[in-house]
Amino acid sequence: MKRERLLDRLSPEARAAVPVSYHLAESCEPAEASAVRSADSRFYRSSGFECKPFHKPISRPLGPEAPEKQ
Amino acid sequence: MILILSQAAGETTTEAVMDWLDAMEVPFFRLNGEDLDGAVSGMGVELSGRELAVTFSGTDERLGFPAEAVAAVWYRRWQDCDRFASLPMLPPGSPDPGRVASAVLNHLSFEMGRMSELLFSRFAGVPWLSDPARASPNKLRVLEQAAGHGLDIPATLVTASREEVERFAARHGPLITKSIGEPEMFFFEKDYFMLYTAEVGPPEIADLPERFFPSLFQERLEKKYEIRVFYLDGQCYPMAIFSQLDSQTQVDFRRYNRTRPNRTVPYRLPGDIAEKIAVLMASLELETGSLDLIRTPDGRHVFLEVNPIGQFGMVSRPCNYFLERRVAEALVRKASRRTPSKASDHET
Repeated sequence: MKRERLLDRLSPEARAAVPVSYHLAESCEPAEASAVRSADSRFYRSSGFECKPFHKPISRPLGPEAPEKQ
Repeated sequence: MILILSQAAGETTTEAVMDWLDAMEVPFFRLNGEDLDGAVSGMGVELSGRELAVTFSGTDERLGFPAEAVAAVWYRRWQDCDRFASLPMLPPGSPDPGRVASAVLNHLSFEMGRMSELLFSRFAGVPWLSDPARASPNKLRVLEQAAGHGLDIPATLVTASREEVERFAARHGPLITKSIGEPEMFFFEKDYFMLYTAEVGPPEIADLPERFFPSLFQERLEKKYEIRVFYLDGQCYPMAIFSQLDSQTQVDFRRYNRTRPNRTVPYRLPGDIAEKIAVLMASLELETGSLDLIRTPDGRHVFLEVNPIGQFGMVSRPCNYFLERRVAEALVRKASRRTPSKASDHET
């Protein structure tokens, strides 16, 4: 992957204004999707919010190991 | 009940702790920072008297619990206005779009910050694990305190002058630079840039303008290996990271080599270093955090920085520390210290 410099994406004015860490920043390789889980607090995916044992929303697998939708 | 303040995405650690609380049959409620932004989640938070109500737009659902029902709070992370950064704030051709867009973003950020503060203040009377007010300590102040407690720290300079950098490099050899505050990421459609720690050698110094924005420089320490320490309740859980053998990771291990990851192993810190870390964390009023150290070839343990809300799954799994369980247990201990009025009395 060809690395690009962040500084080249900035205007001349911005280049003169930013700290040195910007001068040395290069583009990063995008992270590959990994099999992680994600759970959010949507009410329709959970039950019993109120001072009762809270049931965590069912975890939804993401990434290459995620099961295909039925 | 334990209240977990988190962010919606990228929080597998939060979910693992929730799994443990679930297994312990401890009631908890997770609120993500994004949930305050009703336009994204369809969810809102209503504060009415002592009651915290969670509402969902477009439905009649209104679930709430009184603040007294919360026995402990875990401040994991909080994302409150990321969505706005990618919104086109003005139509094309508007005059001075940069200044206005920046003012709108700053204002939205400030408003969300104030709303978050109000929410957090509801639970000021209960024990917290991590405090939002101490989630992002000043790195330079932390270094100063670490040195004061006897920990080795790298020679450090903040300057806006190339000449100063040249003099500093003449004394200390190769340097690194990193953000004084937090590293930032920049997304340009498919490309992204991160302000990693970067090496500053003679060619990079020569390329610098004479004057620049004040920047942090440190001596570049030779590494035998890096050490990431997860700290919780006086206990250190250290992991050695052999990042120095890979050119991609040798300056900053977060430039992960995903094809050939760094070797990581459990590590035992010398007792005096663990003690100094405990003293430092106490002086920073931090019960938990992730610390970065470097073990130099001449045997020194050099402290770099602490992140009070750093990820710890990366230490837990390779070292079999079961940190998620330990965090869940710490939360339960905190909750048991303050027994709230009977939860069932407050059901809404």
